[in-house]
Amino acid sequence: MSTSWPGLSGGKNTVYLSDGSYIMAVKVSDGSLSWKFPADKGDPTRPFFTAPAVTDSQVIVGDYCKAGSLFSAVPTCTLISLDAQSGNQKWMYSQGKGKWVGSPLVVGDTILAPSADGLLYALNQNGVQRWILKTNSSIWAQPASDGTNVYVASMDKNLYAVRLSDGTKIWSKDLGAAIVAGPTLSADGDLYLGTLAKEMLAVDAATGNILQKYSTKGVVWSAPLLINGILYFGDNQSSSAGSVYALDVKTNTAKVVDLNGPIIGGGVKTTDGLVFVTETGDVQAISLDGNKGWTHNIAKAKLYTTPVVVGDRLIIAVSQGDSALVALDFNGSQVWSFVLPK
Amino acid sequence: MWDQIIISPFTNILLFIYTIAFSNYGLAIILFTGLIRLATHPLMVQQIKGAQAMQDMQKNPRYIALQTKYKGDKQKLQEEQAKMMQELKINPLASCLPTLIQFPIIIGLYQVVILALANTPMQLGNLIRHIYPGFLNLATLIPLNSTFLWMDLSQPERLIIPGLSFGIPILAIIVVVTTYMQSKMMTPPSSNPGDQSAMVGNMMNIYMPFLMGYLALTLASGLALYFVVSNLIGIFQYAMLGKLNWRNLLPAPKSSAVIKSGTKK
Repeated sequence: MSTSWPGLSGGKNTVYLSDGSYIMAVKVSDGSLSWKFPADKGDPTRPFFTAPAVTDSQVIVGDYCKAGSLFSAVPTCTLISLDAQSGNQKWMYSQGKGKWVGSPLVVGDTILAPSADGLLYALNQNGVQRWILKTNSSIWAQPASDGTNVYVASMDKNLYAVRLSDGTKIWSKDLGAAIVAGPTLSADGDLYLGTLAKEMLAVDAATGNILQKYSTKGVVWSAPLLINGILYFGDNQSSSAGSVYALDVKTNTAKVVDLNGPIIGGGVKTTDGLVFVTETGDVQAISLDGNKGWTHNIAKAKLYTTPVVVGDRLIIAVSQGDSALVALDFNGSQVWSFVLPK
Repeated sequence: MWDQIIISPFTNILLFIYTIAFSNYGLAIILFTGLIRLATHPLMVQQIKGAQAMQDMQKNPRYIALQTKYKGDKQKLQEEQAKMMQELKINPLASCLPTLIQFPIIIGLYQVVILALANTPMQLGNLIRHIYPGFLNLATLIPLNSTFLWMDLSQPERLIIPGLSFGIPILAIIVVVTTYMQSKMMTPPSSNPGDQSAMVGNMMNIYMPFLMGYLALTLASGLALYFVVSNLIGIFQYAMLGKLNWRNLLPAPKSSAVIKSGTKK
C-alpha cells in the first residue's frame, strides 16, 4: 500500500499533482506535462503527496520527509516554493519536524503551512518564518482564514483561532474527537468541519462555541463544500459504502445519497452540480438538490483525492490505476489521461 | 483471510489493552506481547519436549550404530531412523511444528504494532477499517499516544545526549544483546559440535542478532520495543522450564589435550 494518495490543485489552465517522487504541472488542454520537480530523477525516499498551494507566481508544497541517517534518525522535512511557470525551486524551509500532510494556505502575503509535528508555520512569501502556533498533535487539515483570523483544526481534537498578523491565540475549543480536514468558513462567520466521532459540527468563529452537531453514518475525511446555505460532503462507512450529504445549515437536516464506495475526497462544483469520487473508482455527478446524475467508473482505480475543475474540465487524480490523472467533461466523458513519467 | 483471522483481532486486542493501560502504547505493546507469549506457551513446551526427544535419540547407541552401519546407503538409513522414531514414539514434527504455528502469529503481531502507529491519513483510514464497530470508541482512541519513555514509538529510536552530534540507538543495542542471549541460552548443546547443523546454528546465533539490530535501528521503535520484550519473555519462559543454558554465554573451555600440549615443554 502507498503511504498516501496524491495531492491535486488547480491553477490557470494547469493542474499541479503531487504523486510520490515528483510534483508535476500538467496542461488541462491536452494532458501534456509542462514541468516536473525534480526535473531529473526523483528521490523515492522523499515523497510528495500534499495538494500544493498555488498562486500566480509560485507553487508551494511540502514533502513527507526524508528519513534520517543511521545515527541521527532525525528526518528532514521540507516545504518548497517552485516557480509556477518553470518548476524551478525558489526557496525551501526545513525547520519542520513532521510530514507536510495538510495543504498550505496563502492569505495575502502570508503562507500558512500545517505540519504533522503539531505546529502551524506562518511564513512570508520568501519562506522566512513569521510565527508558529503549537498544538498537541499532528495537523493534517488545511487552515481557513477570513483575512484577519486563522482557524486551524488539529488531531489533538482542538480547533484553534489565531490572529493572522502575529499568531496570537484568540480561542481554542475541544471538539471531542480528532479532526482530519477542514474547516470551511462561511460568510456569516460560522465554521463547519467533520470529526472522527462521525459528526459534522457548526462552530461560531467568534467564540469557538459549538452551534450544532449532525451525526453521519461514517467518518468525514474532507472539508465540506458550502453553497447557498447547504453543506455538501461525503463520508467513509466501510470499504464498500459511503454517502453524500446535503445538509441545510439552518434546519440541520440533510438529504442523503448512498454511493457504492467510501468517499474520502471532498466534492467539487461544476456548471451542472457537484461531483464526488469514491474509493471504488466511481466519479459520481450529483445535482445540487441531491439527485444522482451520471457515473463514470475508472477501471482498477481507487479515488481518494478531491477533484479539481479548471475551465470546462473535471480533473481526477487516480491512485492505483493505469493513469495518474483523468480529465472528464461535465457530462462524464473522458477527454484525456495522464501517465506518470518514468 | 489473513486480515480477518490475524490482523483485525490482534489490532482490536492491542488497542483495547491500550485503552486500559493508561493510553500508553509502549505499555500496551509490552502487555500484548506478554499475552501472546502466554497463549503460545503450550506450543513452546511442546517444541522443547520434541527437541529434547530428538536429541536424546541422537545419543542413543542404537542410533549411532545405525549411522555407522548404513553410512553408504542414505535411503536405508532414513528408513531405519524412521522405524526407530516410531518405536520410541517420537514425532519428528514436534520440534518444528510449534515454531511454524507461532510464525504467522509473530508476523501478525509485527504488522499490527506498525498498523496502529498510523501517521498518515491513508494509514489511519486503514487502521480504522480494522477496528470492530462498537468495540472501540474512535473519538477517544485517536490520536494514539505514541510517546513512551524517551521514545516516539512511530519513529526509529535514538537517545539524544547534549553535546553529542549523534543519537545513541539504545533500543537497537538492547535488541542485539537480548537476541544474542536468547539464541545462545536457548540452544541445547550439540552432540557433535563439528557437524554441519551445529555450524549453521552457530552462524545463525551471530547473524540473527545483527539482522534484528538493523531492523530495530531503521524501523519504528514500537517494533524494537516488541523485539526486546519478546526476547526477554522468551528467556524467562525457558528459565522457568529449566532449559536455560547460562554456560552457553561463556566462551567454550579448551579441551584437556590442547591444554596439556600447550603447557608441555
